Amino acid sequence: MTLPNSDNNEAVSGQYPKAPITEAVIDFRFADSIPQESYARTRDKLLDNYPLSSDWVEGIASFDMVKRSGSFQEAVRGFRLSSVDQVNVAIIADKRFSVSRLAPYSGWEDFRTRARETWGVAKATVGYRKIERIGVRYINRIDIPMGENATGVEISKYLAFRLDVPQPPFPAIQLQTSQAIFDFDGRMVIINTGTVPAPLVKHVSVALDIDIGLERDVPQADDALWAYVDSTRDLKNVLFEASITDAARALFQ
Amino acid sequence: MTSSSLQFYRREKVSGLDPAQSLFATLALPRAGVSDTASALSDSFLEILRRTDTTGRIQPRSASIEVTTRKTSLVETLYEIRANAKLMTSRVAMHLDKEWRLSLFRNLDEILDPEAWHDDDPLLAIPSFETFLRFSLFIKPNRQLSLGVSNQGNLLLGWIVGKDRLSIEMLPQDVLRWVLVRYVGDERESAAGQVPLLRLMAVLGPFDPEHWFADHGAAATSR
Repeated sequence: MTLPNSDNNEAVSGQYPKAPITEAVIDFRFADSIPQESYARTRDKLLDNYPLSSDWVEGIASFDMVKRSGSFQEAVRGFRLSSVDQVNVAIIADKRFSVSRLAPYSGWEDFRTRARETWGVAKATVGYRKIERIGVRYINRIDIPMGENATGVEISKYLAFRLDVPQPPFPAIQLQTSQAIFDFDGRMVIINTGTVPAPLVKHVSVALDIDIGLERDVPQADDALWAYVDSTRDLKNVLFEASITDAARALFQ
Repeated sequence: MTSSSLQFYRREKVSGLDPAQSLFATLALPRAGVSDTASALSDSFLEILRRTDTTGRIQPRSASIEVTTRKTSLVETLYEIRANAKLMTSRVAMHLDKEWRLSLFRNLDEILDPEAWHDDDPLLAIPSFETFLRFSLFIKPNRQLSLGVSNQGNLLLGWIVGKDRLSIEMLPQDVLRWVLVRYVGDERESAAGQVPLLRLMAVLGPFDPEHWFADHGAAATSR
């Protein structure tokens, strides 16, 4: 199957003044754990770009309802690094390296440059680790204003990727969450959509989450790795534009 | 054109006959993301798994629970409040003017500065800050920010135009407590009340709230 090429697709996403991106993530997963002794050295070398750091601990909580007992097991420990304004975040923990940019999104070039620089420092400190998964994820939140006396919104006016419900007999949807998984020539594309709490008064908010992962034939050399990340971002743009309507685009102006 | 075709997709070995297997065992839980939106989406999917669980036991999956080390030092406490306030602001940053947001952060750094802290200073309550953000985006006051914190930890906003003053305390859950003094000629009028955010402009209407909120020369709250 030939992937859509953003160079010749008229619907490619451009820069929106009020882009609905709440988080952009570039995420690498390694086959082996990062050595514990590398964490502190990596953090120290990244302090210029990420002056704030806090422990990153992941645990597994287990409950046995029959025995009425529970346990907690620490599974991962590392660092969460961030810029002073908290919008640039890096996580280095166990088998994971990820760079996130929270809103306001500063554009692909800025995000990618920071991510690649951060990766360069981490790799130089930690050493080579076989990458077994590359993920590029963009989480969008579309904030839809309600009419003056309205009690809801027609999501299909804004989201082309939607749930069709026969009405009647069903009334209006109160809440919805959906997930669809696609195979784009070896890249697993997960589209998560759903209503999320609206941070704005008199608005309804819908998340459009595009998560693209590669777990086969993962490039290891830096140039090929970042070329792949670039192409995945292009694919994300095509999928994003195909998932929204002009009414949504008007909200991003 | 819409399509209703469904192609079978198997992500992991799951058995339709296993009583311990969740109904939606193939649901892929997101693995990367630090924002509130990422957490909200993960919570939604975990809730789907919980509600459709076929046994009485909670099945821990690949979802990770972030546990942050909690320290009781003042520096750590102030850091967490500043971080939470800035992360909360990030959620709506696409709707905020850049200069207004940076001014807000400077204000936060000032009122939560450990170097200038006094023992009896109140800590900012994050639920109050949430009300403040929603107030700012809904009312869109155009004047420069001047923030304070009440003894209960609620954000205090004040506007002064000549002899006229308006103070609003941001309570949790979109509730506002306001006090004003307004001169009509030489006649001094004062009023106070507590209202939901949605009702504020209607309640302040007789006193012309734009008298305080509008300032065309200052940084606008939002774009």
